[in-house]
Amino acid sequence: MVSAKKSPTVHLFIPCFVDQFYPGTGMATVRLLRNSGCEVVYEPEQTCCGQPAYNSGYRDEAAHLARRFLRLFMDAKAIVAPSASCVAMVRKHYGELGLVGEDAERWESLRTKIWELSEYLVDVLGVKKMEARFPHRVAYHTSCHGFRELGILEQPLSLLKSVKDIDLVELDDHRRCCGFGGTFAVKNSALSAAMGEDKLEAIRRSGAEVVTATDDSCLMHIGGLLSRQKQGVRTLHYAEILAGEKVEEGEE
Amino acid sequence: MSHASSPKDLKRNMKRALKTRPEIPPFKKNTRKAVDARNQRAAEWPDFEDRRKDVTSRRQKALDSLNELHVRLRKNWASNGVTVHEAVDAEEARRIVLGIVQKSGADRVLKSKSMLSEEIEINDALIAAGIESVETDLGEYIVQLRDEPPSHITMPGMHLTRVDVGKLFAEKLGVDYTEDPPALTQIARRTLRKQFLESEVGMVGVNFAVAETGHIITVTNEGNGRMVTTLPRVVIALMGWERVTQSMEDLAQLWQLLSRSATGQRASVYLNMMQGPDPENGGPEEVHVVVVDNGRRALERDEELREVLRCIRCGACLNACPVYQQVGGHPYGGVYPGPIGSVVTPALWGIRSAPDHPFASSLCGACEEVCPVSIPIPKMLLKLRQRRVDHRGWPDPEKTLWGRFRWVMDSKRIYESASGIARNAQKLWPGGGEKMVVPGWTDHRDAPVFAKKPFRTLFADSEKRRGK
Repeated sequence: MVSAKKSPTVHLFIPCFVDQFYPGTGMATVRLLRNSGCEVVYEPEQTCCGQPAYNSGYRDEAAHLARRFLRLFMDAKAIVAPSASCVAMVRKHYGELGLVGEDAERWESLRTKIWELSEYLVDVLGVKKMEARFPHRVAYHTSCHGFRELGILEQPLSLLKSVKDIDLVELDDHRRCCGFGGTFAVKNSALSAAMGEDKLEAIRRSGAEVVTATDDSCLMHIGGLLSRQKQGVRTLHYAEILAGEKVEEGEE
Repeated sequence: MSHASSPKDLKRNMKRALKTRPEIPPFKKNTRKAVDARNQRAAEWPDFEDRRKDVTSRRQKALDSLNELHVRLRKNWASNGVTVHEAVDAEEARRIVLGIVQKSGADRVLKSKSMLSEEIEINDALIAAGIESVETDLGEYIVQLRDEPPSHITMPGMHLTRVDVGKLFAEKLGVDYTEDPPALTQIARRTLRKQFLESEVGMVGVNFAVAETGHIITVTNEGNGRMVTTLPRVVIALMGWERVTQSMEDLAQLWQLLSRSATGQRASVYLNMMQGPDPENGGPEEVHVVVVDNGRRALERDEELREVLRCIRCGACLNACPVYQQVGGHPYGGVYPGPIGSVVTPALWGIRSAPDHPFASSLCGACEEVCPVSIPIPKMLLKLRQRRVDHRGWPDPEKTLWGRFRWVMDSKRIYESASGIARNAQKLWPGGGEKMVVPGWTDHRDAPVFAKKPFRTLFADSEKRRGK
């Protein structure tokens, strides 16, 4: 791995559901950042960026959590999160919350300092290659918020391609939504599942053993469908593949 | 046209649609074809994004000076001999149209495709007055024969297969069954051609009205729009108040983007330009424009949503929408389906008219990506979600839930103990944590399982090991 010239201090943002359900993603993020020469700081006061409330129409609740987030991270020089949609929430949607005064100033300053993990590794640190080995057929799922709101696609793919023995396959119609959509998955459950079913069909066609993505949230939905249907395909955040975890240990 | 279901029934309709849809739903196949065609045309222009930006700003400029453009338009209409009518709402629009038709003495109106005519429900009003209304666009003709509303803005029969159409024609027109599209088109053509020659009144929608010349523009592929505006003695053009464009140059740019986005054509087959009455040359004796407001002027003053008036009704967002692809247009209810419908319906007629529309989206952004006039549909859906929440009463279980969410997430201590309680509860679930019932979620999927230890604990442990 290419190490950065200085050793930048990176503040981790591990979104609430990653913290609780997918801590392996968080630990992989730590390992990747350290291997790339970063000092990693984690502030345990952090909880949620407010995205679920915002996407459900609860702007005041979201704004409250946004102000909390901005206070907590205001001194950070770089914030890195292994979740494109949470990064999009902070970078883009905080601007829609009617923040004023010092909250607005904090956002203005922080929105250029928060990065999705692969953005930070590739675009900021210039990392090109991974040491990991992953001898499996892997399908990369393009997360809508990552791709359409942040323009993320090449960064994680370039890193995944450099993994030894990986058989990286493209899903048919890979830019199509998997149907997660936050509380949409619960409010319009049947619709969300029908959309997911099309994604599963694409996954089956690809012959992948593992589905990976920038977002554990998409993977929670895809994985929940796969597991309900006993499809024998696993989901794993790309950070865990890059960090060299074995797929068998993926969930913990 | 039969009545569309109410937009208020969206959630029920969508659930039902998923249960009753055919194994290979036509809208799934047809949207895919339309998306491929559109993408191919977009890829053909290396500067497509710039053209999109250009057209967006032309459209926005027109909206920003709409009052002024309307003044010029009226002046040109007056000198071109066009009669102008103003309708504040659907009811007034119906009354005006009915008045014109009745005065002409006609007992039949020939229609070219118009979404606005669906919006003001003119067909029902005409039928109630004993006047026959005949759709001449093939797709519209088909859904009219089926007594259904259109399921798509530009492809009304998007939800049908050629077998459906073959059966329909055999049943309703008494012809031999065929599912050969050219043969079906010929059948419709023969039936309609006779009506063209016999009808006194034609009615068209208006894609654009050009302020600097007064031209009334209708974009079609079948030539029916031209026949409807030239053969009958009286022509009625139904126009949404926002459909003004400043110049022919604007029109040229808009038309190209509209064609490419709607059907993946470089240009539509017809671009019908009507200037006014022209009986000396075989044109109509009377040309009436009915300018319909029906919520548009108020929407123009709505800072958060006014940009939606840029919409040129190409339907590209419907094709690209993964929700529309699953259920087609009918479950949305009302007139305008798909992502743009989920904005337009509550934007024009209030959130109470379509309370669930803003939520029928995963916010994936595919709609905004293909919109030729860059309408930020997901952002607008979010604004509308907020309006829906603002309209909720109190007490309200959902509001309470999000209040609790905020309370939990506002404190490390509460967050950690709440997640700890949930973790332990899930451990006790018979058959394993992934079998835990989470309303909505676990209807179709296994539940996510709390990790043995959250990240925060794993991280603290590893820091200890590192001696920090």
